[in-house]
Amino acid sequence: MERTEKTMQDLAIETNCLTRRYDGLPALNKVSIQIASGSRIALLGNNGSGKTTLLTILSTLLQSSGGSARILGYDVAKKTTALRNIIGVIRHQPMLYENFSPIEDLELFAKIYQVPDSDERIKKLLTSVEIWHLRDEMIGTFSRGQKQRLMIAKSLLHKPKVLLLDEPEIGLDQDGLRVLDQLILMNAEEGSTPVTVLAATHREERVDTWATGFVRLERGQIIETALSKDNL
Amino acid sequence: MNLPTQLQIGGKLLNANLKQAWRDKTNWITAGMFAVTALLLYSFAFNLTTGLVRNLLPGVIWTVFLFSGIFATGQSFQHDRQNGILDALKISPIHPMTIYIAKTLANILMLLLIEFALLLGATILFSEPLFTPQLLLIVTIGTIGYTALSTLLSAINLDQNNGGLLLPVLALPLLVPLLIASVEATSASLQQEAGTAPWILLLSLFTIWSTAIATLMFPLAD
Repeated sequence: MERTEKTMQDLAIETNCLTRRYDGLPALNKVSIQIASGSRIALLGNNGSGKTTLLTILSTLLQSSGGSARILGYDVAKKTTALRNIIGVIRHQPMLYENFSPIEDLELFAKIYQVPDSDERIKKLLTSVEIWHLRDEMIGTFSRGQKQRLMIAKSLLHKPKVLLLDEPEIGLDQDGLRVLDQLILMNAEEGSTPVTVLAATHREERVDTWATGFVRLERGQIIETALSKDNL
Repeated sequence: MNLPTQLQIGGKLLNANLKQAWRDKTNWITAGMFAVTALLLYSFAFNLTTGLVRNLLPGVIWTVFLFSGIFATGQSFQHDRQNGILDALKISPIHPMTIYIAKTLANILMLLLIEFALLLGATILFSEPLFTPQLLLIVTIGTIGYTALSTLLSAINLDQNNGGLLLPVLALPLLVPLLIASVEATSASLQQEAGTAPWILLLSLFTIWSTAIATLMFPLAD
């Protein structure tokens, strides 16, 4: 991402020489990015380029080996409650109770995130991802695509300000992809503060449908960036 | 997030853990089946008079409880990890200690259910009054102590990618003092000795120590 003179309030995600090594080998090597609030940035790169490592550190699930990362001014390494309240995450693997129904799973997490009017919110989200009719079925019986739709709903449950998505298209059919695009775009416009999206993807042909910019990684380093849609 | 909110969320998470354990019975059925089989084997192996049974019962009971407990709790975080639930909880605003306490309490409740049923079974098999208030207290305190440690170790164990091998290797030496106190307290209770109270006190101290250490260490197992 081009270095700009953004203020702290304008920056949703900021990393400074962020590094992560596994057994001495760098998976992420001095990555510095600045992503403005409200941007929808595609994280591109081949397998092993460091996309998941970057998203995992930003999600507070992995400690960096060096450098720093901030989300809306919060230091990621400190893993504060305030930070965790403002991020929504989709990881490579669904994060769902297999022997719960979607309603049971979302009700628990609505309680954890203290979502107001949770019943209404859950109904709205399950309807948006078009699995309301499956609300009482066990998640373990769902297809990968249905689980992914539920994960999209779950990541948006607490109205996060920053979405960190690791290959959110996995398992989705054309209809599912449309739902994903709509929710990413719709959510970006919901509320007063625009939602910032950083999403790793291998579907480069789809990036221009939703992204306002991209960051391309290779062997843990940034090799190309673009800020605006014109650069795509 | 303040304490009352954490307690409220902890209650919900405990309920979720119990519901999850009830619906996915794998660990608990394995533990229960092991316990029943072991108890039956012991009852046939020791064709003993009442007096001699009393000497052996504390060891029999706690050996069965220990290994069925390891079966039941050893993989307690495994499903949560496999389903990504542990990650979902870790990135949520819930405090790590709340995650640990809710899981440990669920394990304790499920184990106590199995153990009390076993005590009833052993009462019939060995013709010994094992379902006494004092013995139930000893079993409850001992179970809290070893479940606190084994649940913590099952969380640490996950990151080692070794198929559960570390749990017995790490847990058993740490549990020795607690198990000795449990066996001695049970023995004193069965023999109806006057010296049961000091052993119960020692067992309680070990339990408080292991529970406190495990609760404080869980966030570091991240």
